[in-house]
Amino acid sequence: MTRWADNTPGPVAFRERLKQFQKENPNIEVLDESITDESAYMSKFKTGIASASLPAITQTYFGKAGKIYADNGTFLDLTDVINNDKEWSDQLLPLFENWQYKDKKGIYGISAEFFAVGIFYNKEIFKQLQLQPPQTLEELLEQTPKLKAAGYIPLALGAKDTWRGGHFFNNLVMKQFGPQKIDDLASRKAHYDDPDMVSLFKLISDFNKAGVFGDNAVSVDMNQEKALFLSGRSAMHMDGSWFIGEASTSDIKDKIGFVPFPYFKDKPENKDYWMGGGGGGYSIYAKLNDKQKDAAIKLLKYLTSVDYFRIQEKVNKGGVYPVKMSPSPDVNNPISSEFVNAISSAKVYKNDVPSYDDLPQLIDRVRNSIQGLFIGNSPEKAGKEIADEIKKSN
Amino acid sequence: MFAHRAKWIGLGFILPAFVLYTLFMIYPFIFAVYMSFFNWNLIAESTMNFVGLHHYKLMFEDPLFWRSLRNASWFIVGSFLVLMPISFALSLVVTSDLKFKRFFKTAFFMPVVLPLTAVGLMWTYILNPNFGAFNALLDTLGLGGLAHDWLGDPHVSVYITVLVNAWVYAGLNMVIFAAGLVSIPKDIYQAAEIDGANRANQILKITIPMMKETFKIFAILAITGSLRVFDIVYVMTGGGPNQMTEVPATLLFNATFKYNNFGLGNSIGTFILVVGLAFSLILNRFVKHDT
Repeated sequence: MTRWADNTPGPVAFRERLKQFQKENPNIEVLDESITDESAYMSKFKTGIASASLPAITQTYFGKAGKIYADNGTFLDLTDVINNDKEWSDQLLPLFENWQYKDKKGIYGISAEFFAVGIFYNKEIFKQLQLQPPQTLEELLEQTPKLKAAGYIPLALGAKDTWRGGHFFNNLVMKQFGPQKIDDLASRKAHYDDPDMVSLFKLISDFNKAGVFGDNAVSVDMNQEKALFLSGRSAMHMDGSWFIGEASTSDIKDKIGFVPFPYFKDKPENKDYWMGGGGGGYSIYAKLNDKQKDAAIKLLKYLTSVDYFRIQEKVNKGGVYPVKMSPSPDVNNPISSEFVNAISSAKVYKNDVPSYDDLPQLIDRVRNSIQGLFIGNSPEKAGKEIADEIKKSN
Repeated sequence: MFAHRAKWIGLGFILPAFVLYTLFMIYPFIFAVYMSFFNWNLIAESTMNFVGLHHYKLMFEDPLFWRSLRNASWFIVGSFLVLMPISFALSLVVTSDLKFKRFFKTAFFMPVVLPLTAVGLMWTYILNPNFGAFNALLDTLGLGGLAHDWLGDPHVSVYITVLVNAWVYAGLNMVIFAAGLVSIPKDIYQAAEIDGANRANQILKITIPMMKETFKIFAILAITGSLRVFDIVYVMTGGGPNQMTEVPATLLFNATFKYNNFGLGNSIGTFILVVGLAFSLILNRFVKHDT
């Protein structure tokens, strides 16, 4: 069960791969129960966990909140699987963080995605206005009046989907403080209502008031945000590597470039810290019999091999994947090339800031409070709401 | 003897419905109440721990829960101030001698048969502040100054969802009121007309009093429906922005399926059920049917 159920190139190739697996393994039957919509997927996932009827392989995102599944033996510890097949596991990138826990041994998932978040931009708009894509956040703010005057949204943000504001915030944390801050927040050494954290909420609020994200961003969802960029109304679009396929098949594919998420002018030492890493991965249900387990492990390896990701690279016209493979010379995609070049200097990748916390509800709390900035809530209120949620749970 | 046998035959006919009702309504209700006293993280392998009234305490101490009740109460207020008059007016139209009343019946009932998710999405796009049809219409009519971010403004978003909810259910309640209207004997209206009563007097002095039972049914459905409203809010606002439009059912969904707090979710569910039941009993008690 995965979220690859739609008809974009990646999921289509995923389904073809499953069919190929069935052809090569006629004694193994694979039922694909994938659902695209996140909310519907999570409901099915939770129901499956509660009724002890999960599929053999499930796409999981985990983070710290997944430790309860490890503690309860819901998913298989894949350490032995990794150690016993070096031919397969040696070609995996070390992206196990989402499925490893400090006080619980084991690796409970294998990454199926490698992502990095940056800025896709419309080269034609920038050329027309004689601008360069912003390297710093200060430049982004300076360019905003000129972009707005020309009738463009500088960086449309679908704040209606709370995770969009959350991703913007994640990037700010990495560029301002670096990865250590995320661990400090999770260990309670740092707090969301500390002045330095509130300054990031203030930046989001100020950017919104200045029109960086467009008018009424809180009523725009991700689909509308992408549409604004792909229709040439937004000059920039913050997204991850999974957007490369869509960008490469869009009407403006020849105009799209990619640059890293802007850094703070006074913090150039943090510019190579990125939001990214392992995205969704595969976990194997622990309540399988031996035959089912062997079949599931076989399928897991089939779906995380270099061969499979070469296919994904071909259908998506590039992209980055959680295995050690250089970009194929057959894929002539400038967007993908710019992406791979941009991330080549990345030092550390970190996922969603609150996903490193023990509280499962914190990620929603942080995202909702950030969304509150778009409706006029103060940065101090945003910090306090999150801090209060943490205090309530102690 | 025949009466005795007829009783058993009757019981036999209602037995399947009774079994289904017990399995899918009574048993889940009892289990939900039972589970509300336990901590369980929705993992089949984990143990359930008895925590007594802990979840109820959490629930009542959470300002977000009280906000959700305030939002649900706006749905109740909207039902009586907006939905009821509109549905009643529509029912008068479709039970009158107006031409094309079959067309009107179908048109008014259409929103009821549409999937709520599709309705929510449709209205989300209509109300979009940047490209929605509603703001464009206001602009065309020279009322561009009234254009607004209807779902993004926390001061109005809950009222907008209440109005959309009324749009969806006007047709259904029209049918309920129409059933009440056609059950009133026509000779009463004829007698009133002879006595000099005009149409407005007839509605006020005959129709409404004789439809007491129908209004009671409407009130029960409106209150219980408002307490458990979910789809429209979830699709249109997701409970946002920043949880300003949360209702008890969205809190229940989040507690159970996002935060793995099954006990808290069941506490909210039990609360909705108990309050809905209480209102139904009170309304039944105070609006007695005069035979």
